[in-house]
Amino acid sequence: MYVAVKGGEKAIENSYKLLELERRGPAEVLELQVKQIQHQLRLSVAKVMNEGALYDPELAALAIKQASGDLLEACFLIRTFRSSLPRLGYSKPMDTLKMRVKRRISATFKDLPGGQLLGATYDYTQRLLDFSLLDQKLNTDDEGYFENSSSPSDVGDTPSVMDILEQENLLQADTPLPGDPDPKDITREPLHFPTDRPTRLQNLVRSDEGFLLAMAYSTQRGYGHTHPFAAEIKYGFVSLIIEPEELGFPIDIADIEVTECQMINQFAGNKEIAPQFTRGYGLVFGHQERKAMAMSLVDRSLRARELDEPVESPAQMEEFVLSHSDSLESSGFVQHLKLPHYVDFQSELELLRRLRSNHSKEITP
Amino acid sequence: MTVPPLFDISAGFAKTHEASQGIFRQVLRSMSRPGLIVDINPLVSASLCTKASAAGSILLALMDSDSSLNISKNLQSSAWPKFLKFHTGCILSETYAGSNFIWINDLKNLPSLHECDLGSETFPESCTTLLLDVQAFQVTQSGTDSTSWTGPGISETISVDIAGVGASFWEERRLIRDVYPRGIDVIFCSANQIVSLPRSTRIGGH
Amino acid sequence: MTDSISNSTPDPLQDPLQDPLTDRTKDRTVFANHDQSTWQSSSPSSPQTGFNFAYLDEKTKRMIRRAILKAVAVPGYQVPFASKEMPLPYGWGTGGIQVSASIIGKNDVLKVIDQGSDDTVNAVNIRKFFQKTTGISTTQNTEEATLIQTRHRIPETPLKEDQIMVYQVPVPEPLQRLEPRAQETRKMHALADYGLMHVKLYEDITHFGKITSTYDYPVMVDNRYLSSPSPIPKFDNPKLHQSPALHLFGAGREKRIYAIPPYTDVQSLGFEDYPFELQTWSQPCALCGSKSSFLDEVITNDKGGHMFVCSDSFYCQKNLSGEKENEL
Repeated sequence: MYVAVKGGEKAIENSYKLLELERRGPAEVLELQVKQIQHQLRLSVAKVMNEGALYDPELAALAIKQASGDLLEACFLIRTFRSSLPRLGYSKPMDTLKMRVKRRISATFKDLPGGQLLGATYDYTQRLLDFSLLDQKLNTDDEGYFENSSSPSDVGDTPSVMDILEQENLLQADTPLPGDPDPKDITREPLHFPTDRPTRLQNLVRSDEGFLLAMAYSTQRGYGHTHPFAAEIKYGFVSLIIEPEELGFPIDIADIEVTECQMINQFAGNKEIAPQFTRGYGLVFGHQERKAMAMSLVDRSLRARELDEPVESPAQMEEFVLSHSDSLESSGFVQHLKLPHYVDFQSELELLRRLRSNHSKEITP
Repeated sequence: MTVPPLFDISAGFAKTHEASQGIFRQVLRSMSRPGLIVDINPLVSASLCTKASAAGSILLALMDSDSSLNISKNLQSSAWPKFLKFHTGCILSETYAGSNFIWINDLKNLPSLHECDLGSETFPESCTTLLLDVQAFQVTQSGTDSTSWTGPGISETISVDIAGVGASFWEERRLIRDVYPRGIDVIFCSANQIVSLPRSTRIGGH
Repeated sequence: MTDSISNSTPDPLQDPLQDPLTDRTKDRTVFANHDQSTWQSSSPSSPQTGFNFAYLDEKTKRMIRRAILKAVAVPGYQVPFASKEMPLPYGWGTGGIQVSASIIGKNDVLKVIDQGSDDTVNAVNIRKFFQKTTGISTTQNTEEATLIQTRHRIPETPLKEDQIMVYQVPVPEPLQRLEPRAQETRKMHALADYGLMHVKLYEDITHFGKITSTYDYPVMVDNRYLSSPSPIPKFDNPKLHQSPALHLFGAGREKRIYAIPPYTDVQSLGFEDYPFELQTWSQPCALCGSKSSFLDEVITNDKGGHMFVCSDSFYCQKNLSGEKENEL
């Protein structure tokens, strides 16, 4: 005999208990410390800070622990936390020319002022599993972490490759919009199309890395007209500067790690303007080169309209890219299919049964 | 008359969150039921020597630092602009155009509706909300005379009589209905009550 | 009385083979008692500390409130708003929650339903969220509620003046599946150019012999804006027309709010020769006998056996207790 399904509340409470058990795992295995995640999974932490849109490595590490390693779930935790924080103001624009670099490369020149600094990178490793990592190393000696890593090398000035090209007029200048208006804040105003470049870049920083990577890749395979070169990719510490109204002068409140990528793309130009190289830009928290590079390729591709290029491929369509880039939105909507839909399904069932009965009436006279 | 110093400004709502929610619900009820007379409380005044005002209380409840307000000339030297700016962070605007809210306290200086922001067809929400201080209003079930109101929120028709609002306002308002969804949303405010006229309402069987 | 749906489900930690979602064996006694006092409701309590009332900060509430007022002034038009990340995922009701959180006050009585039922996991979760963050009274009784948040159904019990319905909307744009670009659909709404939708309905008729939308059936609001009534079954569409209540629609992921004020014309699309049709069932509710409510199909065995019961759980229980009183 059918009775209405009840017990939803108890089910939820019990699921929390089960989840906690699964998250912790067997008691004889040491519990993960947030510090371990923060330091030894720093690249996951970087992703969560970017897509969570909040720079706080410790909180990002906490979110990763709470989410049992599901990075999109961790981004969601960070994003809701960010939503709850009071907004104190805006910082001054970051000056990446003054970055204390830990790594800096250029693919456009063999050598350049400031030099190339390989830094810590997986790029030239052999992708072979290192089984020695299965053993727990018990030594407490820092082995030079603090000397080598947390204080970046004394590389001196690294003038921008882009400035050098711009001086020769070979590269389109990065001019502000007419009137140099303040950028819109996408967390305070919903997106409207067509957008401007500052708005698009904001959206791209917090966009899902996988999605952005696929869009960027598509531009390299003919779905777009960019022929990119990596002018400069660098990673290191930049100062965060604010200028409170009450003080009237700027103060340096923090050092944050960022990765910046400047791409040079094929020349645009028309009858009035001589052809020049054009730019794509990527900037992310932490060490995330793949994301910064993907961002710069998609940034350039979305400038198609401004640069008078025909918009033909998905990566050039700003509404397509910017509406589907947020993993909270995409994950939420895809997974919402798990919610009960039986009322609507009932409607469809009823219709289908009727259509089928009409259909059979028609073919059996 | 000079603008009063900051310490003369009143404290605003005793319980901001509760009061703003309460007043919002009153305004929501009013805007969803054009012609319905709705009480506004709690009422605040901008300073000890200023009268409490339904319009002022509504602006205090609804605005924040993203809102722009144009305030009636005769109120500009009162405590109200400073009071509202202090408590909400709103932007005080010199012009009708570009203001989210316009508060007119003196019906003799009513702007032409066309001087206000009517929104656009693609973004009708950007139109102004106009708060008009009036002496009194009277609402009756009615027939189809030129003061009748029909449309969303109104069951059948009603007749609304607003003291001090002249024929030219109603004529303008009737004509503006033709460019709907562009238009203007009006809240008539007595000392402690309001009647709303959203742009969707049709006047005089128009 | 505390809002506990059932305290008799076995604790899975003690019996790992029990699945809490499908164990119904203990529920019979709760359901069988039709006396009014089991229409679960809770009295006001103190909200959990550390949160703003209803979770949202004051500035966000004001932003949403101003958007709601503009939405009410242009019935059926989707007002964009800066939707915030909420503790539930986008797509799971954040729009409805933000609207409710912006309007709710300490004197409100809240009802939350999903698929017509107060007891689905999603409805329970959202109701708990509001209890935790506001401490307000909640109820399952449609007549007692001042604010009803719903996913995919309008209650069978007629609504009254001063009640507010808040709908969770996944896709606010009725034209999206025909034209995904918001830039284009915005122009269509500006010009009231809805040819695309009429063509779609016409194509349904030529292909299938009838209009095949059965839920989220598009409506014209105040003879001006084409709107999505949210994925309610088309059965519920007539309840929106000239309703005494206020209907607010929140789409968090798509960042839109829209409204249908009371006493507003709401017409479901159709053609003269193919007018809008309501759904019907050949049998009444197997539990309460109602012939006029929307029925859910329940599969009862693996031989294709099925039965139909009211989707609106409160309405069904009320009918049953009414019957019982008559019997006594």
